[in-house]
Amino acid sequence: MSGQVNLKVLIKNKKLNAGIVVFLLYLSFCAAEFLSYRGAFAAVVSELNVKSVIVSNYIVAFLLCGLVPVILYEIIVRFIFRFSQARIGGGTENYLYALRFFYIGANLVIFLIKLVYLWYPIAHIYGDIAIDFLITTVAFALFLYYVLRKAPKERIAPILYQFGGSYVIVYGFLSLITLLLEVV
Amino acid sequence: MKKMRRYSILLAIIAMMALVSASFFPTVRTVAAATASSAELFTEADMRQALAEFIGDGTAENSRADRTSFRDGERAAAAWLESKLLSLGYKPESGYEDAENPLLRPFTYLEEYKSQNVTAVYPSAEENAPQILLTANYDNNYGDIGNLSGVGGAGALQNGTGVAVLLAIAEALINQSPELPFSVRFVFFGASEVGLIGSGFFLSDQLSAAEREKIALVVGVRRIGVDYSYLYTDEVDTAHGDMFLETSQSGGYGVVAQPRSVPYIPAEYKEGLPYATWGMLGDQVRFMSRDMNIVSIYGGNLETMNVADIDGKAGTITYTSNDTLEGLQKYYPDYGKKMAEVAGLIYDTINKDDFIQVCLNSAQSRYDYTWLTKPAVVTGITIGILIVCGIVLVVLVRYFQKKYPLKPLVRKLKIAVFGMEYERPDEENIFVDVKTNGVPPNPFE
Repeated sequence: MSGQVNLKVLIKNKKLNAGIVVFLLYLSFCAAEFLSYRGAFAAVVSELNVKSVIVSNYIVAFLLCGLVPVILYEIIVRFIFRFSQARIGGGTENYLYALRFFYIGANLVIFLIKLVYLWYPIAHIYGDIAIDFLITTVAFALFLYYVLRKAPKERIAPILYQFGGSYVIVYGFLSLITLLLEVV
Repeated sequence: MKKMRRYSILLAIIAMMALVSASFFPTVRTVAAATASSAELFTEADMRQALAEFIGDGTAENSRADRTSFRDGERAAAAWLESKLLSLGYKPESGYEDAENPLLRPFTYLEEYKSQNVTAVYPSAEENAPQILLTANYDNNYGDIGNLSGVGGAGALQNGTGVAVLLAIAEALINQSPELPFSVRFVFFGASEVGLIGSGFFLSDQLSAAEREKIALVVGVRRIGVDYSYLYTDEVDTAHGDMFLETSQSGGYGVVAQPRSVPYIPAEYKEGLPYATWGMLGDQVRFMSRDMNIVSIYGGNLETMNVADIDGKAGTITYTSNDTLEGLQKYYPDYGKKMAEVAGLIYDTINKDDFIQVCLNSAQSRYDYTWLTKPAVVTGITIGILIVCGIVLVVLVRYFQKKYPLKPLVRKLKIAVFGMEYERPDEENIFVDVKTNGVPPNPFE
């Protein structure tokens, strides 16, 4: 057992500093968005005629594309969890911590699936529409399952409807906008 | 067992990193030397000479450094190209024999801006034969035009090299006089740097419907002479693209396929395709939008950490004041060799026995992905995903509502009149203890 990383223990006992987890989450967002948004970055640097390779390189593209998603994630999730405290009782800090791991996992899966773009670029027309939304929804469902397994019985319903409802409203709305923009 | 699991996870991570790295940075193929025949027809010295002739010596009488779209310099360059082609032996086409400028095809953009394409045909040995187009733009952005600022560069690389390559092929065809089962039309597009204007007019106004039907292939040549020369034909493999690549490999021409791992730009260059890659840049994309076979041969370096479309490791001189003969010599001294390789590749490929049949049959063998990009299909699939997600959501909510009914938490306020010792506290009710000093009040006092 010694030396093995037990994810459940890691999350339960908060063995990793929250700042480190947020940084890992940021890197995972970079990975998930990189293949989709490096082209937009390339177009911008070409349009601006940026010559310096210090600016217009893949590493900068990688680091930039995860910045906005992680900021939006932290703002929205923290707000929702704080807002939910009154409804479901305390302990939302633990849920906030745990959810990051599920999103890290989802982002890594998204990155692996999007590697198919390297061989079939046409796939990204539909991949960008569907992959992010579907994989993230599955990860969130797993997060709910993880939370509900540990929650007291009388809290299950409020947690389920509060978190599930918030996810549907926020992420579903964002995804709907993205889907419609892709179509338009 | 635990060690095995650790090692296998480590190996999997290393393999994935290697896979991703290899996809981003494809290795350059090493090639053999070019064949003897093309080496004689297209020498490095001849290509340098051809480019130098086109750019001119810089004197007032003989300079084509300023070829700004729609300006006098562009008209002068067009006139020079016409006289060059006529001097090589190209004849005016039917209907243009008595024209003052038989090889020029003028057009007016927005009723104000005048430019011209230059075109000449190497005829086929057969009647009603198909035709291939070898194209390059000849203008540059030396000076200001409209909202676009000029860069003061002579456009030696972009796209003097493309023009010189085509002129070399034109001369080789006249000198060698092969009897081809198809005709070869050379087209030098004007007003390309300001939005592919010339090619748009050429395709819609300067070619008849019958002539468009005959086109079996369009080759676009751009920015040759830098680190590598890439070939792009479509988002899927094509028979005509494979033929060019096989010729390049066997002939040692050094032209390689554009890697699939290039970034895709969120812009519509080809009509109906919501993204673009570097290979689509150029006039040939107009023809690609009409579902014609295209081959785009362009120079660059897609194997550095630079995410933009750069010339090469020595730096980008395209669209800068360094884009001169001196600049090319300084930054990319092998430009003559690269130009000779591209010219040799195109010449050898079009002279293959099965060339025209491969081009004519290419569309049938190519996977037609256009149905995937149709707006109606994209919309339909998107709405379908939304509907499916909505149905799943409704089913899940109903399921969980039955399994975990949401009971409102209504708590009653109970006053422990006789003290808490006589009550059974629970979580559903709130109890108020009326004791004041820890001693239960005697209710009978």
